[in-house]
Amino acid sequence: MESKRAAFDQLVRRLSPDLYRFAYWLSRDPALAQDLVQESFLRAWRSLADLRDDKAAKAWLITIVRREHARLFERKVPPLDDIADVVIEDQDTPSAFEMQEIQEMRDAIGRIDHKYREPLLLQLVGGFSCDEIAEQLGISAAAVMTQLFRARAKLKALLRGDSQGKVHELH
Amino acid sequence: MNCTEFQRRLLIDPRAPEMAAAAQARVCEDAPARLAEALALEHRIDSALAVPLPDDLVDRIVAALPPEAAVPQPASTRRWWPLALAASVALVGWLSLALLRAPSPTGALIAASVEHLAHEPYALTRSGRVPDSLVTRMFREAGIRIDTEELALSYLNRCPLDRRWSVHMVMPAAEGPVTVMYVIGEAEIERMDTRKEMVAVRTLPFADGALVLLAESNRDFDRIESAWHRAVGEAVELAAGSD
Repeated sequence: MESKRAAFDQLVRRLSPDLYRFAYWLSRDPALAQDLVQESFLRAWRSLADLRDDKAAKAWLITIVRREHARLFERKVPPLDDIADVVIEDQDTPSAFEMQEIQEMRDAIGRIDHKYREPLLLQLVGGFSCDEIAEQLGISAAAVMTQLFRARAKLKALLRGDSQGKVHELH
Repeated sequence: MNCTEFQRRLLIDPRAPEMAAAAQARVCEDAPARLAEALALEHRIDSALAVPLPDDLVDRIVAALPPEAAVPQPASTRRWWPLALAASVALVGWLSLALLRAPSPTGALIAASVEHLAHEPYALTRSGRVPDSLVTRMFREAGIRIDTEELALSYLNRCPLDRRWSVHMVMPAAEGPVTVMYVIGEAEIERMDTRKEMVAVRTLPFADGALVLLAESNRDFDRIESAWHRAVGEAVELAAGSD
């Protein structure tokens, strides 16, 4: 039993950065993201028997974060900070130009619809394939591809200065 | 893959191995340049998504994990179905009763609070004092300014409670620890003293929500309630409490 606890502590240390990033961009609220990550690990610890193997842990925990977030979203939640008002402290110190580029991208990510942002986060933070994202979201792989296409297209449009993020589909 | 498909896939998964092969095969005349541009965008997205983990989050998570003995063990696979059957019957019975007699908001909050105690039993075993700055911060996030001078907490967490957000706290007291739940935005709660499942419970409207006190005995409730009123600058006169 002692080794289970030690292994779980290791899991917390290993997966917290990605889980927090995922929760942060899902909720766009640092305090809520911390709560989501903490609550998800607590739930995972209580349901440790459901964890089949260590490799599946990340997918399993991301699923818990998604469900917790969806559950809380249906309830009354404290007011969210506007993403543009949230100052993120970078550990490395990029140049002023890089910082401006990063901030523009963060603003753009914060402005795309949740339905496009979520699959993008699952792909880039979760490291999931389109099929795995489809399974997580309960939609077809084709729909995931469409959402990923639109997410990136909207980001590009917003970075170009198109405030509506209009997307031109390829046919 | 033709040029149109290549351009479409650049926006779906530019890092997929087949994209590099397609660029090399020049499915479009400028395929390598397009791929380079798409990968640069990916790099920029990665940089933007890289928010740093708050310094103390991992330690807080690890510290909040209940001891191993509190983690339910998996049931034997040979014995699961009678339990599941019994649980189903109990659930149907409970649902029927619940449908027949829907509880008031106050009753529902009491039930949810008592049930929540079972989810975090380790909250009652903490002895150290929670830093005042954390308490102040959590209430500030809930939109309330409090003076923590009289509020010595041994446990603090923000918890979902039924359909509400709550600040879950424990205050050491003479008759044993008192759990205090501040339920954010809950406006329909009445003042009530009751017992549920051997737990003494007091509910009251408080600030922009409701306060729920839970303990084995209600003897410390008046003192703790007064401290909370003073913490938000309210004055109130209370009768002495007793079991």
